[in-house]
Parts: sequence; structure tokens; C-alpha cells
Amino acid sequence: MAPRRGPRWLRRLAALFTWSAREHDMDQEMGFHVDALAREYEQRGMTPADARQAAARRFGDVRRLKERGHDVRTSATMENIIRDLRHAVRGLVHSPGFSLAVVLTLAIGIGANTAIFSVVDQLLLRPLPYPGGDRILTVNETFRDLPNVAEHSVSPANWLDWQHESRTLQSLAAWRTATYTLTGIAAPARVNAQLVSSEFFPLLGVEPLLGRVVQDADDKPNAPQVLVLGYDFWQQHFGGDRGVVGRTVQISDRPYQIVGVMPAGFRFVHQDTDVWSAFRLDRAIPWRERAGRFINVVARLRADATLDQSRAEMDTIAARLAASYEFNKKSGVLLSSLRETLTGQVATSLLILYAAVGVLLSIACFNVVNLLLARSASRRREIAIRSSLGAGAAAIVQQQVIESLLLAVTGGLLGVAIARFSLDALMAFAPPDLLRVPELAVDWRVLGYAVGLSLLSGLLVGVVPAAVAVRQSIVAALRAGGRGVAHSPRIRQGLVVCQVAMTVILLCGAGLLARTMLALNGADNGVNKHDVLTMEVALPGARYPEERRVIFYEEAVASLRALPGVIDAAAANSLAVVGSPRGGTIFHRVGTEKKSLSESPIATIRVVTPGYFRTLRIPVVRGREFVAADDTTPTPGFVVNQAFVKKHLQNVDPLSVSMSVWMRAENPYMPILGVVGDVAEGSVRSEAQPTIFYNLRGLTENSMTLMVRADRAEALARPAVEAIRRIDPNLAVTKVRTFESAVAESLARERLNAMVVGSFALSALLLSSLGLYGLLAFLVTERTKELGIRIALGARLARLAASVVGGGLRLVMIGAVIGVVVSLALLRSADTLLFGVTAYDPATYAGVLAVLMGVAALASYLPARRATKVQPLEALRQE
Amino acid sequence: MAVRRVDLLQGTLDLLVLKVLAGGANHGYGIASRIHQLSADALKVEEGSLYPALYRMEEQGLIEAEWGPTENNRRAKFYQLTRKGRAAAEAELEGWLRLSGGITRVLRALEQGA
Repeated sequence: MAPRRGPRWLRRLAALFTWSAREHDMDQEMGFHVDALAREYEQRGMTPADARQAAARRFGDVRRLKERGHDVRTSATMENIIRDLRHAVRGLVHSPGFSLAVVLTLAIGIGANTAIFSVVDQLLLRPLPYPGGDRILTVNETFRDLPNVAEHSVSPANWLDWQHESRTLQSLAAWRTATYTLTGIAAPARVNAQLVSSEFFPLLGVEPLLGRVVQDADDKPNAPQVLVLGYDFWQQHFGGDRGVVGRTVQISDRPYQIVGVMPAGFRFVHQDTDVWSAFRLDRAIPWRERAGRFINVVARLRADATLDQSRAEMDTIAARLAASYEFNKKSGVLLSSLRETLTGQVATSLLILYAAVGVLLSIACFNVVNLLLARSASRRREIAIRSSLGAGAAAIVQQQVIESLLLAVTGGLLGVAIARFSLDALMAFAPPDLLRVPELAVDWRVLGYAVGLSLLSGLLVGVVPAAVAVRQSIVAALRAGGRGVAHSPRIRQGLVVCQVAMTVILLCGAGLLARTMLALNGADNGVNKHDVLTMEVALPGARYPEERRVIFYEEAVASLRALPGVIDAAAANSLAVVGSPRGGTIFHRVGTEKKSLSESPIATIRVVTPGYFRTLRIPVVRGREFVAADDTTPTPGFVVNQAFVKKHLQNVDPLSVSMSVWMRAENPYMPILGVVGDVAEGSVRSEAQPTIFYNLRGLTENSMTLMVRADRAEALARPAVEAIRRIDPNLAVTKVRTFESAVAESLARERLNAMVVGSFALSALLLSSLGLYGLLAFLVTERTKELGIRIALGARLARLAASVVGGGLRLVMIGAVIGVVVSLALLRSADTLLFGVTAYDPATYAGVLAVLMGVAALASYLPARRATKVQPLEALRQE
Repeated sequence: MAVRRVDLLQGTLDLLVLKVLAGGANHGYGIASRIHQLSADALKVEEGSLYPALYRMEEQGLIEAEWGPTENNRRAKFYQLTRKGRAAAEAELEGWLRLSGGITRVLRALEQGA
């Protein structure tokens, strides 16, 4: 019994929890009444059995009376919900197959959705971790001649002029990245640093955890070097020692004083930055005459200015600078929000994925609607009885919706587990700087999203069957004994058609992405990527002046060549195809008009050692490549690629050309020694650029990539690193990997896209074949009697089976046609994602349709087989 | 239409229960038997529908219940009027009499007028 004290609402609330106590109470009380009635009848001379029956009849439906009893005692709605919930749980436990199918279907849909939402949330929805982060902009230079390249570095001169002239930008900071070897701690460490001007930290508005940040006094050419540590680096190498501020460490054998530690989670653009140091740029020297563009600029928009105003102002300033300086003649300026810069690459593919999971969830929901319809059809009799007993439409709808909500929330919880698991997998597969988030977690926001999505799906899938149930004619259903009344087959068939269409869209997308991946992996790119081991070795400037660098790398290449099993070895400023070139610059060819700086032709510059082209199997088309005999200073000439010849040397014999390339202070005219084949520049997808190759002797580098061709390149990793260490034990040898795996890493994002879309497509295929199976199985059950009669009359079993399978395949065909048409329209816009295949690739579409038909045939065959197994006698006895 | 009839029935049933309990505490079966003696119609639908009515009146604070032994030494739940219930019984009775008297007068007048 409910407690009798306290306000009524409290008693009602308490009553909810004493439900079973009250149930017992009523059982006892009503039992006593029925017993007494029975005794009364017995005394009038009835047999005990008859007496009990008469008593029960007179008393009425105990179950319903108890329900009404509960109703009057508590807030009726709450009680109803709880009753329906108990009813639903009981019902679902009774049909575990159905429940499992629905819960799993929803779990897949909600899980995939939640996982992708978590990424979308982290990348696109959450504010950047800087106060007023949406006012932070990146500023890049643009070039009229190179409109396709989005992010250009900035000349310090332009940065300073913008800073001086802009009124809409509150401040502009310069930064660039560097990689150092840090000593003076337990073990030498390779660190990723960001060199930042004194404006940087105040602009971002983040305070240090300990000590101070880079200040004006640090940011001078000859100021003592300072270091601000990232939180993770501090924890890892200093064990979180708060006394670290003031300590001195060495970078490239020079002292750096640690002045501060940043709070946990502070990062800027790059996830893997370990330390920050002062830029120490001399702001007084005429940078336009001294150097090119090599800094990045970040700015903060003034609170009272808009991005558009600032863009307009900066365009005016850039135009004025272009008019004043030859250096600026072809350059403009581009402002973008920091968020856009951070997520620009990923945002598109992320939104595509988000759309894909949306489709997946709709398929899942359609499926569940179908299953629920089938179930409510088999329960029509129960519903009819309930409504004839006075259950209103609202009560029936409420019960249906509660059942589907229960299913959806269970599915949602399982979905969260799936999301958690797939996020871990995503982080494991994705390269670290791709998503630019430290971690992906299912937190309260994401959990809230999942729960909301579950409830929404539960409501949506519950309402349709409920509405159909209410519309059923009660009388007709009762008369027909719960069978044989046409029940929304059109809706269900329509749902299967929709599912199939959506599945086809996902499968076509996945198929095209898979073919793109195959094409990318198999792309030739003008080099032979097999059996090549690569590694990077950077030299500290203090110990390695220019002439020592050349000697070191020549020695390194020689010692690699001496290793057993090595066919060839060479070095270059970076890896072919995926590595960045040394730069781009202008050149002048003897016999042509000498144009102004901004009108001169531009070429890409790469630096290589003799044997480079042979090592990578890049064909030498004319002349020769660099040889050891060229190793004099200055070198006797350049090597160029075919793209260079095509663009700049039409109708000229390349080997007769003499040119000057503006890379150094002195740029003597030298001949072209040879022409080599084209190699993709920048990525597997890219075309070759007109390129001039320098011999390392002609343009020294302090960081080079070594390449070794050997029969078993992978096995060479350890001996190769040891060979380098024998020359100088204090050098860090990094990125030891095969050329192929370097290329594969560069494709990580695309592979991830293809994998994720592929797994969505497979899930969709699974779900819609389940949906088709469910529909046909149900229709066969519905037609049991008809099938029985037909079998009894001698219908051929094969024809019966064919009619079931045919019915299924017909729906699939309609869905497939719609799906293909929509795919053709949709995928056309995804053309930029594709490589080596067009959006109209017949092979992909044919493959998708073949797979779909195969799976659909299987999904139809199983119910069809059941149809042929119908026993005529049993079928007829069912009535 | 049906709903109104139930309301009317319910009102009558409540009044009858109050009237029966005014004669002393009783269990559900006892109340039902007593009502049968008074009017066979009120519990015509099903005798068990007495219970939801009892629970509702208990909720309204008109009656209270206690488990106790019957004459045959079985356990039963006995209901009795609260002070509020006693007052309600009189008020309801008065109201009912006034209403039924009014209706009777109207019906008579109509009959005579017709």
C-alpha cells in the first residue's frame, strides 16, 4: 500500500514504486471476493467448478479491474506508461528474434551516426580552444600565376606592412615550424617546434600554466633563446616538474632557457607540436630584397570588424603594395577563418560521411518500421480486442510508441558501444594530423545526441505502425480472426523499394571510391616505388656548415651502397611524389629577353645527388643525369624534366640551353645536362610540374631524404640506420619506411574515406536484405492458407517458389533503378574525389547491381523455400 | 452517451457505498452483497467494478481501509467512513435527493403538459 502521509503527489510518486505491493493487495482483496461469491453459488447447489466460473463471470475481468485500480490510485498517465513499458518488455522478451533484429538494426544505424557525429562535433561544431576563436584568421599570399595553390607562405615584409596598415585586424603574428634535436635532458629527443613572433600568444589569448610565454624582448635577432614547453612534452620529459622554468637545454648545441609551460590541450594547427620558441626575425631589414616567402601569418579580427570588411581592406592594402614593389606585383592576399583552414580538407569528406550515415539510419528505421508492421499485423487480434474493450486510439498508439521507444533506446545504448568501438578504430587508422583532434570520445554531448537520436527514431518508427493499427477496422479484424485482412502491403513494399534505392546509392559511392583507391595505389607516377627504403636525416647547423653537409650526405650514400643486397642509393631534398620540393623560383635562359621579376617564368626546384634517377628508375630521356664526376663546385649544370621542356623549351634543343636559376646570391649561367621523365609532384593524384633539378653540390641542404633500392628493402632498415650512426652517432634518423608505405600514408585520408563509406554500404546491404527477407517471410506466412490450397490442387512447387522470389526481385529492381538514377545525379558532384574512374563507370554500376541481385535472390529464396514446405492439411486446419 | 451513463452510474455507486458504510465497517464482498439487496442495477455490469470505486474514494479520503479477520476467520480488507466521508455521505444524499426530486418534478410536468 502507498504511504498515507505527505502530499498527494508524493504519495502518487511513491505509489509508482510500490506497484507490486499494491498488485498483491488487490489480488488478495479481489480473490477473497471471488471466493466468497463462489461459496455463495455452491451453497445454492452448484458444482464447485461451475460455481467458480459463475463467480468469476459475475465479478468481471480481474486483470482489467486491477489496472483500473492502479489507474485511480496514481497519476494515470505515468501509471499507463509504466504498465505499457512492462507490457512491452514482456512482449519483447517473448519474441527474442524480433527484438534482437530490431535492436541490432537500430544499433548499427544509431552507432554509425553517433560515431560520425562525434567527429563532426569535435571538428566543426565545438568552439576553437581559444577565447573568441572564431575571430582568428589565417592570412596567406596568393599568386595570379598559381591560382590552384591555396596556401602560400608570406614574405616577412608583407606581414610587417599589413600589420602596420590594417585597421580591421587587431594584430598579426608570424610563425613557422621547425624540427630540432633537443639535448641536455635524459635522452636526446627529436622535437617539433613552432617559432612564433611575440604577437602570437597574446593573439590566441591563452595564458601559460607556468612561467611566461614568448615576449617582445625574446623576439629580437640576438636575444637569448627561450623555450615554452607543451604540456604533454613537459609531462613526458620532465615528469611534470614545476621547477622546470629557468632550466637550460640545448638545441643544435645552443642553449635555450625554458621560460614557461602551456596548459594541457593547448595546440595550434599541428597536433604534434612539442615546444614553442621565439621567431627572432629582424624586422628592420628589407626582406623583399633578401628572401622569399617563408612565414605563416595568423591574425585576430577586431571586435567591431567583419571578415568581409577586413578582406576588402586587405585587398586594398595588397593592391597598394603590388603597385609599390616589384616583388609584390603578382601577389594578393587571402584571409580565411582559422576553423576553415583547420577543417577545410576534412570538412567536405566529413559531411559526405555524415550524409551517408543519415541514409544508413533511414534504412535502419525503414527496416524497423517494416518489422513492427509485421508484428502489429500478427497482433491485430489483440489490438482489436483491446479497442473493443474500450481502449481508445490514444492508448493503442501510446502502447505501440512505448514499445518502439523501448526498442530504440536499447538499440541506442548498444549503438553507443558500437560508436565507442568505431571511434577507437578511426583514431587507430587515421594519420595523426588528419583529424587535428587529440582524441575522439563519447562524452556527454555525444551521449545526449545518441539518446536524442534514439528517442526520435523510436517515435518515428512507432508512429507509422500505430497509425496503421488504429486505422484497422476493429470489426473486420475480429471477424477475420486476425488473418487475411489486407494490411498496408503497399507501405511495406514502398519501404523495401526505398531501402534498396538508398543501398544502391551507398554501394555505388563505395564502389567508385574503392576503384579510386585501387587506381591510386596502382598509379605509376613516373617512378618505380617498389623495393625502395627511405629515411630522413637532418644535420644540426652548428656542427655542419655548408661544405660539411655535402660531404656527410655523400658519405652516407656511399655507406648505404656498400650494404649487402643494395642495388642503388641516392639522396634528395625530399621524397619524390609525396615530399615537398625545395621551392619554386624564376630563371633566365640565354637568348631570351630578360623580363622583370614578376614576368619571369617559374619552375619547381628539387635537389638530388648523383644516381637519384637511376635509383628511382626515372628514365633519362636526353643527355645524362648527375654523376659523381660532376661533384665539383660549382656543378657543371642542371637536369630538367619533360614538363619543363614542354612548357619552356618548345622548339629548342634542351641540351643547348644555358640558364641562370635564382636560388642563391650568385646564379651563374649553366647548361642543361639531361632531360628526365615526369614524376607526379605533391601527391599521387597530381600532375608533374616543370622542374629544375640541382645537384646537392650546387644547392646544399641540411635535411635530406636517403633512398635505397634493394631486393628486400624492408629488411634493410636496421643496417641502414646503423650505417648512418657509424658516421655520426648523434644524428636522429627519422621516417625510416619504404617508399610504398610513405605513399600509402599519404593516401591515408582517402583510404579512410573509402573504408568508412564501404562499411556503411555493406551495413546498408545487410539491413535492406534483412528488410526484404522480413517482408517476404511475412507475406508467405500471410499466404499460408492460399499456398496450402494451391499445393493441394497440384500447383508446381517450383512455380510457387518462383512467384515468391519474383515478387521480391521485382521490388529490388524498382529500387535499383531509382538508386542508379539518383546515384548518377549525385555522384557527378563527387567527381573531384575520384581518380582513374568516372562517376559514370559502367563496371562499378554493373558490379553493384550483380551483388545486389545476388543478395536479394538469397533473401527471397529462404522465404520461398518455406512456401514450398507448406503442408496443405495444416494450412487449411489453421482456420 | 455511454460515458454519461457511466458517470451517472458511478455517482450512484459512490453514494450507495457511502450509505452502506454509514451502517458500519465492511469488506468489499459485504458491501457488494448489501448493494445487491438495495438495488440490483447499480452493480449490473460487473461486481468487481466496485473496487476501482473504493480505491478512488480512498484516494479522495472519504473512506479508509484496514486488513482484519472476517466472521469465518478469513483475512479481508475492511473499509470504513472517515469524518470527511461521513459529511460527504450526507451532502451527497441531500444533493441526490434534490436532483432526483427536481428531475421527477420536471418529468411529471412534461407528462402533464403532453
